[in-house]
Amino acid sequence: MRVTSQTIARQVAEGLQRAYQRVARAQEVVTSGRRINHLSDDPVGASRAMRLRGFEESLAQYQRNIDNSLPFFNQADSVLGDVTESLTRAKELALAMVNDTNSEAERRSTAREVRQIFLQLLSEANTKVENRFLFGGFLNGSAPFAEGAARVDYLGDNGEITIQTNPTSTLPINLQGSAVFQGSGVVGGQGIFDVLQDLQAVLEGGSSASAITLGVNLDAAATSGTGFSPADTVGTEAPSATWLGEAGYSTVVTVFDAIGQAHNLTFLFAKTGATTFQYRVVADSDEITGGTPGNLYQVAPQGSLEFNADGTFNAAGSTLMDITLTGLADGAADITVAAADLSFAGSAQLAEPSAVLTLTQTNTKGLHAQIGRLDAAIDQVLTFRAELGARLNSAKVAGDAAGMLKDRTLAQRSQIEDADALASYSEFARYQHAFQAAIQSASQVIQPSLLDYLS
Amino acid sequence: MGISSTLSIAAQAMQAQQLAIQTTGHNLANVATPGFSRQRVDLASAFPSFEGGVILGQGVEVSAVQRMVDRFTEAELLSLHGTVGFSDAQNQALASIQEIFPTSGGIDAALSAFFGALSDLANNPAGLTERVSVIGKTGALGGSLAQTRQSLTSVQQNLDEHLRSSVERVNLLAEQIATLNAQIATTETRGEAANDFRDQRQTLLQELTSLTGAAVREDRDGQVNVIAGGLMLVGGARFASLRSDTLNAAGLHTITYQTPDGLSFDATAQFTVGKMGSILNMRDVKTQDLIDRLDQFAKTLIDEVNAQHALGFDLTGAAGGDFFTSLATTTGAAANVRVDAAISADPRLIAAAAAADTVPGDNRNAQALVGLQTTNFAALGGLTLQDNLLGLIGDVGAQTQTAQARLDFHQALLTQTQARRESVSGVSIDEEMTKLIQFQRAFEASSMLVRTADDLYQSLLDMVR
Repeated sequence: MRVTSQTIARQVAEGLQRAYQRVARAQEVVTSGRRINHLSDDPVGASRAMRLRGFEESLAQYQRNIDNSLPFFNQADSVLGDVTESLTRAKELALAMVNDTNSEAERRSTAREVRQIFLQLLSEANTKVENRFLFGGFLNGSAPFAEGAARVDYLGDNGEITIQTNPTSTLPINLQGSAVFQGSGVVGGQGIFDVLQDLQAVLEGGSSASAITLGVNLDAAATSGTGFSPADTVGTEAPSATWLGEAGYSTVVTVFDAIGQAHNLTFLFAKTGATTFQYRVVADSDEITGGTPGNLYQVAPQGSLEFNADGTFNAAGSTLMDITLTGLADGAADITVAAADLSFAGSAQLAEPSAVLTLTQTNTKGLHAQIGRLDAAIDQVLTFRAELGARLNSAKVAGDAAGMLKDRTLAQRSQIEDADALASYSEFARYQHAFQAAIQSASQVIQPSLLDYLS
Repeated sequence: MGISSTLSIAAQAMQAQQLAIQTTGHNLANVATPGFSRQRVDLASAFPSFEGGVILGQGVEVSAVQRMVDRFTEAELLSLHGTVGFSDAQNQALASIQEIFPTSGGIDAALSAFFGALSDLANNPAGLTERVSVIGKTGALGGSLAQTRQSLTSVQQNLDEHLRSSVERVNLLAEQIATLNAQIATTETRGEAANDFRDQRQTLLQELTSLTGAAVREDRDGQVNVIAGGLMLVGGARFASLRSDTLNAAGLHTITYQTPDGLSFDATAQFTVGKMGSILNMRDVKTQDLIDRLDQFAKTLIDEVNAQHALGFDLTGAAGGDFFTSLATTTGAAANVRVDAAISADPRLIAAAAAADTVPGDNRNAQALVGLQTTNFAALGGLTLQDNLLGLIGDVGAQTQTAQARLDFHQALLTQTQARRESVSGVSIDEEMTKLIQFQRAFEASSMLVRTADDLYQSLLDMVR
């Protein structure tokens, strides 16, 4: 083939250009430290790297989700720990009061301590983390528990707040306040506040369900009443139409049913003869299925109390009746106080009108009922605490897994994207040498011409 | 016969060598002229005379000045210029497109950040900071999409500009080629060689085929016809012209073909090869396809997020409105990804809750919005948002890579063929210098012959004196 100076010039120019391009490319790789600087350097690798980077960001997000949830878990755990301790303390108090030897003053001061525990738990149940109430469900912008007229009301809802812990699963970070503190939806669930309130009530007075011992001081001077008006039918008697007998001659005894709910039994008394009184027992109508709030309902037929001429109680002459509370609205079994368990021992007919009640017996049965409920409540809290622990654990596991996966993804991406420093530098050096060699040879090839040798 | 004959041989020889020296000079002068083909003076011995029973040589004569070309290589070069023109324009366009999609920190990063912000909102649905951050990240995503689309549109505009200047250039080349056609025909019918005209025309033809990928056919009278996409651009001394003064529906220029007789029609679809074919393909097909896909991506994002958002309830307990300003058409969607004005004015209106009565703690709708990140959408070919986007970016990379490889290959072919042409037509300084010395010596020898003839005359004259 014929070779001309143009051929060589072109060859040199193109060869140098190519060599220079290679040097520039190698230089770019060395300075950026990355194998892929433009999409076309490795289209498959570039989009894989982008996908991996997106995945890393999701993993970081999962870690962030989990980290954000930790204060909630930790705070809820500490609250439930406190609740368990408090309930245990309440149980200890109740156990100490079971004994008949405790005075009323002791019971009442214990009742005050129970009230303190109640208040403390109420404030714990309204714990806030980062401006959100832990146990309010979705309605966590305001305090979920408030002490109402009788019971503690739950103002939150059953919303389950979840966080995403990996691409396919979520983890609830909150416990439902109504379940934890009120036992709703829990098998054998206990209302923790109710138990404490009832314990307090038992300690403050009232009686047990079976074995009611009353000492009543009835007024000898009272005029005879006209009889009883509360009917036997549920929900018919308004309280204004209370018994027409002696005003103020009534006493309330709290009894507890099998599920620990308190019921008030009201004993009404009327003078029917010189030494004879009659009594009836009525209950609040709305505690019975089908009853109307505010009405009364007669539980037992009327019985009579006979006094001796000296005013002392004549047990033999008295007729006592069984008290049976049936059809309880809360679904508990019937409450029965047998006539044999009812005692008016210590009652008297006194010249001076003194009213009614002397409680002569510690409410052992009531306390035992509450202690049983406290145990159930403690178990309930422990169960939730265990569930919380399991969730916290799975959150930590998920967080660690995300972290590990992120490291692996990072390594994988680096392998695709990053230049091997040593290899890229040696490649750069190689191309540079090649370029220098090309320049040197070009200068030698181009220069000589026949002209150099003619003169 | 006689001394005068000798003298005339010498004179003729000197003239021939002079011509040869001149041609060598011409070759040397054009050593760096692009497209120049070296010329060679063909010397032949003159027709002998028959005198006194002896055949006597009558010296030298110039039979032709030949242009050294290989017609086959020249034709191959023309078609290669068309191919390289196509690859080169495609590669240039794709190289600028691929820089629009950075290998990190592009739309995909903005998309991840957007969903990250929604995830943070799910972690704290009542938080105002989280809500503001969602709006900020959405703005960044919208900005990134709009900027990418804008860049693609300006690539399209640049290609359009390029097309228009190419059209101007084609017109100029067609006219010049037609003129040279006429000159070559005139010169050659006189029986002279139109060597330099042919070189000039060949250079122009190379540029024209590079632009249009046209086919070139030479007639018997030495004129060429140039046909691009079935349209005759040059036919002998006549030439057609192209105009690019009409806009199509997309606001880009079309190519109008106009015959020398003034007949004209839209010929945009005829240009499929060469640089112009490549520009049209990149402008109307490839770049447009990227813009359409980006719009489809943006429209799907807007529609799906809005649909999910409308199922939720905001911090005031009202049902969620539009999260993005909703759009009626897909075209232009990528330029208009914006947070709804009501929401940017009041971040509380982001609907993170799934029911009206479960605010502020309810994060279910925020979770559902985050869930869109991993949802496959039929409108995106059954892919997630991210996969669709990465598919688009991956396509750009793959196309660019292929275009580079194709250009490298065609360029290598061109270089090789150019080297082959050079080996036939190229000027070698050494060779010309050698010839120069050779012709110079020959000239000197001829002048010596004149002196010898002169001496002979002198002797003759002295004889008679």
